[in-house]
Amino acid sequence: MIIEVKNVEKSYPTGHIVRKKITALRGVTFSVKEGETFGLLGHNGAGKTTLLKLLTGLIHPDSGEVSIFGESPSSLRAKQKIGFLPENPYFYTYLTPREILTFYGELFSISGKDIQNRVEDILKTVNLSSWADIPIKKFSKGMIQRVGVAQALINDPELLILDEPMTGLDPVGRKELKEIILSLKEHGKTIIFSSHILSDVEMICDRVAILIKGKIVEEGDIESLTAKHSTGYEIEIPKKYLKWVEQQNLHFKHQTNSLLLEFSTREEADKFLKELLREDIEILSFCPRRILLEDLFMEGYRRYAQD
Amino acid sequence: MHRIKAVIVNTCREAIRNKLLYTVVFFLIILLGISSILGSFTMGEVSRFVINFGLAGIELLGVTMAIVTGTGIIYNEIQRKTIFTIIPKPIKRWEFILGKFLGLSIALLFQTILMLIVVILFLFIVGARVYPIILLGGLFIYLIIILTISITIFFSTFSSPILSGLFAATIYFIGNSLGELEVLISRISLSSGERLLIDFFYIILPNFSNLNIKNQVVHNTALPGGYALFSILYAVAYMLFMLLLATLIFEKKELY
Ligand SMILES: Nc1ncnc2c1ncn2[C@@H]1O[C@H](COP(=O)(O)OP(=O)(O)OP(=O)(O)O)[C@@H](O)[C@H]1O
Ligand SMILES: [Mg+2]
Repeated sequence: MIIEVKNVEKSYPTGHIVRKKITALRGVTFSVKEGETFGLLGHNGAGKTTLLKLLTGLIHPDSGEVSIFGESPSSLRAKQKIGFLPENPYFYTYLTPREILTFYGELFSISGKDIQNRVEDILKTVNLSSWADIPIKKFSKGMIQRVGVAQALINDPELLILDEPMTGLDPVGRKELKEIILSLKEHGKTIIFSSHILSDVEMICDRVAILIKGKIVEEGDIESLTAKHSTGYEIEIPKKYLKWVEQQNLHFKHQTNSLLLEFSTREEADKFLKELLREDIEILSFCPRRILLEDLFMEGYRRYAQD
Repeated sequence: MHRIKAVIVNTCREAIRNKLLYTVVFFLIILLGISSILGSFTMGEVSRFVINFGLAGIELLGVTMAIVTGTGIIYNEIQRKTIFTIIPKPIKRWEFILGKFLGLSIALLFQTILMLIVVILFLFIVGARVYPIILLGGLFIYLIIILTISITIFFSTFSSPILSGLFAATIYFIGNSLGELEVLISRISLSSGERLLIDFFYIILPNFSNLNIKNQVVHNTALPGGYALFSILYAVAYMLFMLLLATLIFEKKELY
């Protein structure tokens, strides 16, 4: 196991005079195998950042155990193999990307010539080569995020820990980052990342955990998670057929520009598809239901968020 | 020790880029401004004045820089979240503190040397005699400065910049008057409990007055045998103790 988290609890002290506590994690247990891409899904305040900070030795659990490569997260041997992108990363603004990446490279004891080559490569990977010598204080949010991705890759890590890596990136940036992550995955790297954007997780991850109010409520590979819950098929048709649809005995949803007809089995859907063709009704799309992870997430949220 | 060096270089670079050179220029301007009114004095008076004023200026600006920059050293790293990308890298927390301390110390060594050169040149220009003891004076001031850095870093591991600045400045002022305080106290009679309390403060507060040898520099009088060595050892020991406390606190600190 690359990551092992057992029964971890973590709370933050708040208040100056009266000491209170905010519980961020309530007994979290999970593990990540070598080569796996693991997605951590959760609402705002679910505890994703807390969990990832525990993995990097920035904070320590109140109780429970965290081990990375079989060692404590603070051990240098573990840290040597980790790349970490914090949520909304911040850098010394007076430095340029080249300077800051060189600095981070030196923390890994990469020396002289190797650093320069490595920095050059990474700047190219995250598309910052033309900004390499401009102080970071002049950067936009998305550009800073790219510096963040670059610093996480500087040591060619075995394990990547990314806290909401897609934030701040435009569609091009997102696509590029997805490609970077997928290529790292191909090279056998282990990746754990947090997100509340379900499609990102669905597209990249082998396995997910859904974190709600500091507890993991679902965990597993996406296929088996979604298969466990009801699946189905959807046919999308233009809005103008509303009258006709209402006459049929059907489940359907209104969308902005269309109607979504829902079927629980393939047979039912096929049968109705023929009906539509016979009536000469225009079909916009026909597909298996794709919002399952989202449903799961919402369901979990409804179930556990009350208490 | 590649990684400590990286932190040192970076901290030093920040301090120098930020304000260090302005301080030296500021010092130069004040010194030049004052020189314009020195015409009517005798050579002895001028030399004494320049040494006194120059050394005091070096110390004051150095200590101010130590406190102003030192207070932010840990706190700002956390507040500005720059530490979140550093601590997860393979560096030990104590190495980070040590690197920060050494980086700022080197930057201020640079500042102290530059200012000392300014003072010495100035003495040459006005035609005063320069004795080598002025170098020892510079060294002692530098000890005061790095001692202040270590005290400031210690406070900054657990309190905000404004508070740690206040604490460090207070300690600097008290530490400076410890010598006079001792003279005062020796004149009054104390109960053994009071005596103990005073001894306690005497031990935990840094004795900056031990390190103040401006008078000896001005009058070019030799220091008592072993005095310099003792003072240097005292300063270094105190500094190491402060850094040790700072690391112990920082080692346990939750970074969020
Ligand atoms: N520095 C802090 N002090 C006090 N409480 C905190 C602190 N950081 C987080 N918390 C609390 O811990 C809980 C989990 O926060 P965390 O930042 O881990 O959530 P998250 O899942 O990363 O949320 P988001 O999606 O908004 O980034 C929240 O209830 C939050 O209020
Ligand atoms: Mg977060």
